Amino acid sequence: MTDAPPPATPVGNTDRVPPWPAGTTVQQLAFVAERPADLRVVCELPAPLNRRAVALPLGTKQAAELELLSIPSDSPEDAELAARLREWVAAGATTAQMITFQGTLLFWGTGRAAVIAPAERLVALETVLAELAYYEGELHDVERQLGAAWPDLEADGGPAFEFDERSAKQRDRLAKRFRQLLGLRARLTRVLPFVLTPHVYPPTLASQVSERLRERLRMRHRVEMIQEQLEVFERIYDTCAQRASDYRANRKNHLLEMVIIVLLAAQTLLVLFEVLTHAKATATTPATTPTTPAGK
Amino acid sequence: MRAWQIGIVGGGPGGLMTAYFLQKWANDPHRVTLFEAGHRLGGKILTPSFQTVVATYEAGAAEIYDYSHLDDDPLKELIEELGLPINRMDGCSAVVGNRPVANLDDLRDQLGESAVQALLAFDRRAKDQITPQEFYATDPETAADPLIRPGFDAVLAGIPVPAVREYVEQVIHSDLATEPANTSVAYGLQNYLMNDHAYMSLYGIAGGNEALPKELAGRIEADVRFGHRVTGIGRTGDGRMAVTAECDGEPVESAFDLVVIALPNVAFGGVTFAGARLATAMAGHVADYDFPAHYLRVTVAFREKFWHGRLTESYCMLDRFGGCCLYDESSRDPGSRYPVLGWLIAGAAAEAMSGKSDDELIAEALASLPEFLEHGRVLALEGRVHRWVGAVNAVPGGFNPRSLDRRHRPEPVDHPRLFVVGDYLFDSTLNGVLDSAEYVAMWLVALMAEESGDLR
Repeated sequence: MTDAPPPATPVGNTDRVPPWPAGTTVQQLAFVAERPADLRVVCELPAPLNRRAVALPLGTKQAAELELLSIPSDSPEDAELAARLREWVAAGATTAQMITFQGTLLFWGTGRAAVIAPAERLVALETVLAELAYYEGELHDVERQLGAAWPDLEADGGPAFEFDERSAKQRDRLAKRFRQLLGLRARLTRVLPFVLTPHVYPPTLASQVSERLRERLRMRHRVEMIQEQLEVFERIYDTCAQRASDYRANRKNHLLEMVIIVLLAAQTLLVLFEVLTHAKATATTPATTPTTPAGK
Repeated sequence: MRAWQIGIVGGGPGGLMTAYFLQKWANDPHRVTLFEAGHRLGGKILTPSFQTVVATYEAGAAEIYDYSHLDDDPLKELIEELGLPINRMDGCSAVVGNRPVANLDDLRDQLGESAVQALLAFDRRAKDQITPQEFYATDPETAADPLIRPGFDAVLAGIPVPAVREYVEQVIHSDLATEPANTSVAYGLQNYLMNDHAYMSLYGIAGGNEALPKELAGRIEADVRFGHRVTGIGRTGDGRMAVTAECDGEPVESAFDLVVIALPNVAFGGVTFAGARLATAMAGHVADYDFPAHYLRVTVAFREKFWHGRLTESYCMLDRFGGCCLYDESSRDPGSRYPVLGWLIAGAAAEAMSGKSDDELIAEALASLPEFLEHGRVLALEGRVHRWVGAVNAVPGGFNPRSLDRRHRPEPVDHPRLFVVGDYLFDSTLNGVLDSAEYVAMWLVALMAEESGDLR
């Protein structure tokens, strides 16, 4: 938990709104590769990801990737509090999902989450929520970048069919997009084992909430959709790369052929020149008839 | 060429599935006659309504096992083929000492760290003994020793913490429908492991499981004889099979080329098998599977969903009646006006309580609600009771395994055209009865194809 107190005026609060219950904390989490000296590490993500969630100081200028409001309580059935939490989450996100499960109430939106759970379960829940925020963020980012890349893809369809001189000028741009595409595929592949991790049995509350939230966020289906899209992109840019490579090789061959043709032509000309000059020389030289000495 | 006459005794899932597969696969003309003692088809798959409130519930088979993530799942494929939508079912909670235990954290709170370690150790041992693939492929009757040895209670006795032992027993009791002492090690472990999604998951048919037999019945072409209780089976003088049924107190005799008995093992007692050889063989067959197991279904409709937020899954396990499954029937139909809870009481408790009146059973069911739900007792509107005493089979292990052929054709010498279909021939599940029906239907199709020349 951060040492900082809960915000005095969360989104939507006014003077008439009662304060959050005792023990409420708000954490602003960011995911970093390097272990920072001055920030508290909330959780380490699984080793292959080489990321850790750190709690940013409240009011920092660095953008938080997840704002997490936690309320320790054994009774999540306060309807008024639930409504306030939904409002708080929805204020920072487009939609808020609600999950009620075994004494836990969770609201989840992109970039914001609020959870009510027994105090002794909160730390484990915060850890899985931070992990899920990272996976969700990665999926969301890949989806966003792929969505933005569709117009480029449509424009790049031509060179996939026929690569010509005009396409050759776009080669660097196509190569850059191909590299970006490979980067997206790598990001997706890296989080896949964690996004698609099977159910745990016997479960813990944290594993159950994680499984339900992954289902609610349709992560498995989204991964399938992303993979379908990536395959379309890869087919186009693979073909472009192949065509560009073929084009370069062909152009090189053509150049060599031209050089050979020029050389052959030059050689032919030289031979012709030599033949002609030799013939001319032969024609201008008087014929020398053999002479016999007089009187012989 | 004349049509084969096929008699199927029993209008439950086994009889309907056999008729459906015959119709689907047979190349030879045949006519099916289906004998049903009652006035509805579907047997233990039953989705009735309450009398005074508009709500339905499962009174028989409550859920269907899903193995499709492991390999072929013929039952799920059949349900898809019939175009029936399904709803996934989940439940990992048990009520222990009036508190819900849904995960290891709850178990630690309730019973301590030693309980958690004991459960994890048991879980590891169970998974070491049966992998998901083995779970899928294992026939409880022919599983490798030592899994077929009887007495799952001895395995449970190996759990060092008594409270965890009771917890595991509670979790599996309603699936066993009997006591652990009457269950083989393999079957006991399977019923524990089926809680893990790596092994199996559960689903129900949207709108009620009875949609399955209804859909099958709608698709088969058969002469369905309701109210015909089959009382005798024997052989005619010309080598065909004779079936005697009782209708309105009058015997009705019919002759068939092939006969399939698709009755629960307990119902064989009402059929007389003519001839010493057949009678001996069928008595042996019945004795081989004479391990009756029992269910009671108590279902109550309520004025409001007082368990909202407390029970958040399709079902949970109560520590009453030796371990009882409590279904949130309304989770099958979220739009229903009246929420419904269903108690599945199993095993010795079900047998002992089956003599009580409906009102007594409903009162006991309501009294079994844990303290955190007891305020809902006064909200009950209507209760219904369904008794399934001896209607299913235990799988005790320890017996001489029989080949699949012998299981399905108990007397092959003089009565090679008499076949048997039943869930108890596999694992006492709906998936098992489908396997059995498929096996017999394929056999009949092959037999008809092979012999059709003789009938021309």
